[in-house]
Order: sequence, then C-alpha cells, then structure tokens
Amino acid sequence: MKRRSWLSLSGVSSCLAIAAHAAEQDAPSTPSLEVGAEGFRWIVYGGLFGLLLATVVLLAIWFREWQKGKLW
Amino acid sequence: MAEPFLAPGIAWMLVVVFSVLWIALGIWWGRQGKGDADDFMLAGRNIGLALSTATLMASWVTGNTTLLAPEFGYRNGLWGMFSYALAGLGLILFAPLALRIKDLMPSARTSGDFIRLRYGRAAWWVFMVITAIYTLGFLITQAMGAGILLEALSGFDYRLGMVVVIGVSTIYTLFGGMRAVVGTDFIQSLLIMVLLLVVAALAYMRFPSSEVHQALIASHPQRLNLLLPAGLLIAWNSALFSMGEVFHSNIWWSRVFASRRNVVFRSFVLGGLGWMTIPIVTGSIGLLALASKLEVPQVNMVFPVMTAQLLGAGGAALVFIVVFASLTSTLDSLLASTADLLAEDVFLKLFKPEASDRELKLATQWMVVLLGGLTLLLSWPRLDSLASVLFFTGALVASTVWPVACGLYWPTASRSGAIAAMLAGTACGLAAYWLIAPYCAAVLSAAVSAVVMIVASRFWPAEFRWSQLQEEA
Repeated sequence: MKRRSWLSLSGVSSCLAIAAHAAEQDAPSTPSLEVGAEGFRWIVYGGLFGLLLATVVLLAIWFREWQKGKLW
Repeated sequence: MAEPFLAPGIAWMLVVVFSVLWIALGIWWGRQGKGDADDFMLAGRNIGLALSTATLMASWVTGNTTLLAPEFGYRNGLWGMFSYALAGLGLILFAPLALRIKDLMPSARTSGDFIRLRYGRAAWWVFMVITAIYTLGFLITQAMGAGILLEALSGFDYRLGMVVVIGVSTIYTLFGGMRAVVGTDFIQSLLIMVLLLVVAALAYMRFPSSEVHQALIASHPQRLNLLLPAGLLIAWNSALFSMGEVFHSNIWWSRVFASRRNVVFRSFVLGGLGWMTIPIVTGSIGLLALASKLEVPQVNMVFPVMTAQLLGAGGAALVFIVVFASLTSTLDSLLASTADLLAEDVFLKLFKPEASDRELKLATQWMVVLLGGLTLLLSWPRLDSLASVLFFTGALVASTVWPVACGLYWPTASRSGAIAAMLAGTACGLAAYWLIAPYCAAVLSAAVSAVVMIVASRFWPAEFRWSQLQEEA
C-alpha cells in the first residue's frame, strides 16, 4: 500500500475513534440509521450465500490442484 | 451448573473419533516430507492455493469466532458482527506484504528473522516481548474457550475439556509439524464451513429473517442502527487489531514462507474474504438469540446455547464438532508457528548458531511440548470474559503494524523509529485500554505508532539495502 493510503487509514480511524467515543458520551443526540426488513434479509442471507460460495470455491480449487498433483 | 445439551456419551464418542482422526492424519502427513527441519517447520515451502487458503481460514477461525462473534452480535447488533467480520481485513491487507516478504526473504523462516535483519537486535527484543505476550494471550483464550465450551455443551469438567483439546493439538503438531497443521486445517476449515451453513440455514428456516427483524425493532432497535457509535469504534478497533495480529504474528509469516510464491497473494485475499462470511453467519445467530429472548447464562455462550435450543441434541453435536475443529485448528497453528519462532530465533540464532539440522528440528519439537504445557498451566484458573484478554493484547500488536509495513517498503525506515513506534504505540494503547475503553486500545496504539514511525523515518532516515535481508537469511 502507498504511504498516503496508510496515513489516511490511520487518520480516519483516529478521527472515528474520537468522534465515536465523544458521541457515545452524548447519547440523546446520537443520529440513528436503522436497517429495514429488506436490508436485514440481505445481510443475513448474503452472509449465508457468501459462506456457501467460499466453500464451493475452496473445494473447486482443491479438486483442480489434486488432479494436477499440486496440493503440496 | 446448567444442564449440558449433549449427552456425555455422544460427546465422548465425538472427541475420541475426531482426536484419533486428527492424530492419525497428522502423523501420516508428517511422514510425507523429507524429514528435515525446514520440512517440519514449513511443510516443504511448496503449499498450493487450496491448502494455503484453507490453513489461513482455519487458523483465523478461532474459538473466539464461535464465542465472541455471536456475543458481539448479541451485545452490539449489526455493527457487532460487522466489526468482527472486519478482522478479515487483516488477511486481505497483508496479501501484498506477503508477496513482498516472499520476494525479499525467500529462504527465511520467521517474522523474527525479518525484524532482526531489518531493525537489529534491540528492536527484535521489543518485538519478541510483544509477540510473547500476544501469543500467550491468544493461547490462553483458546484454551479457556475449549474448557468453557466443552463444559457448556457436554458437561465435561472445564479442565478436562482444556486438556483434551490442547493434548490432541500438541500430539499431532509434535509428530507431523507444519504438514500436519496444514493438512488437518484443510479438513477442519471445510467441516467448520459446511456445519455452520447447516446450523444457520436450519435456524433461519425456523425463524425467518422478517420475524427476527420485527422482534429486534420492537425490543432492541439500537442493535439495527448502522450509526451506533460504540459499534463504529469496535469496528475500527477490530480492523486495526487484526492488522496488528496478522502483520506481526509468525502464524501468518510461516504461511507465507510455506506457500508457493504464485499462490501467496491470492491465498491471503481468498482466505480473508472467505473468513469474513463466518462471523457474519455466527453473529447473526447472536441476533437471532436476542430476538427470541433466549436466556443465556453467559453472553459468550450465545451461539452454542442458541443452536442447542433450536436444533436439540443434533444441533449441539454439530456445534461441538465446529468448536472442536475451530479450537484445534487454531491451537495447532499457534503451537507450530510459535515453536518455529522460538527454535529459529532463540535457540538457533541466539544460543546455538552451530546447531545441526537435526538439533533444530528436535528443538522445535521440544518447543511444541513446552508451549502445550505452559498453556495448560496458565489456563488452569478460569476467567469468564475472554474479550478483556483479547482487547488487552490489541494495544500491543497494533503498534507493530507500521514498523512491519514501513520496514518492507521504505529503505529509510529506521531502527530507532521502529523501536520508538512499538514502545509509544503500546504505551498509548494500554493507556487507552484503562482510561477510555478496552476497544479503543488498538486504534490509538496503531495511530501513535504510525505518527512516530513516519516522523522518525522522515526526519532521521536510515539507509537500508534490501539485499541485506537475503544475504543473511
């Protein structure tokens, strides 16, 4: 990664940390963005689909390497 | 104590079956190699994409992933599970560095080799203290997780469960070395993925997501809030903590050295992406538990309790297998890579540079046994919150991210800068842990370490030739 990317990641994380902690001390004015039923469904089933995909991809790679004798 | 969910007879049968399987396979794989120290420590340095990806995933699916990710979902809602999933970023961001390490140090064995050659002996000492505390913390949380989970699931005594898991991992790592670890990791990662799919699919067939969402809106709407301040903070902490863990720990460096060059980058990216789905799935089970108003004796047992409640004895058996596989796959990696680090960096480089190949292999085997024993000893007294142990080590490891990353890319990164960055980052991270909140520790540690490392390298630059890493390695 480039130097600037590392710097910005660190800067953003520090700002977020301080902002989030300050916001937590002032709970009544905290903004809210609730996930709707549709969004929740995407998250839950998206996670499940992702896990299924990862399993299939891993097995496919293993099979291909096993056929070629390139596992180790 | 609450009633166990799995009959002790079934639990014992599962333990015996999987213990025998791991040990037999481990010993068999161990005999496949050349039998020298390099083969024992790094499995012949020729691992392909499938095994490399699987061992990264299996090592990163710890007991904490099945204990803490659902706990995070239960306590902090969506951001809780997202934040745990962000730990996969550590593996993904390490991918380019892994390739760079492979190119710069093709014949090295440990992360300690890099720090010593790049920054000198003083920086190596600071690094070794940090890695020793982190590794012990990691080993203890895994061992305690083993005891707590097996007790909750099957009624095993806490210490008996711990002895079984540590004992099995130690035995097959001792006889099979890295080949045993990588081979069993592949089967363990597939077991974990398939069984989690089954558990989650059955759970969400019983409680559709719309019902869970409705229940959460009615009782805990904050858990669905994407702007939850604590959640955002935990997420950043988790990402930086994982970077610290991956960038410095020899678990991941040993995978780099053990894999073929052309698969290193892809295996870290695939492993990280695949791994991220696991805490999303286990974390969503935590939310399901919250929506169904499940009574849990301890929050870190949300996942096993929920699954056993939903799916009865069959569900408890599935969770038992997932947990057993998660714990053994992480413990074996920790034992093998830490033993490599101690044998290579302490025994060989510090005390006996003239040691033969056979002596080095023997020293590595002794380290495996000693580490297994030490873990048992330190985990004997039981702690109830694993999260506190985990966050504490975050303050230390996050301080190593920048010295490692800068040291791999900038010839001007200096040894005094690296030492100051690790010390200042650790000090500020620990201050944040105690004075602000445990989950601030890694964020502040990484931020301070970055500033110190960059300022020191810019104003007091070093002159380093990359060939120095290859020549001495």
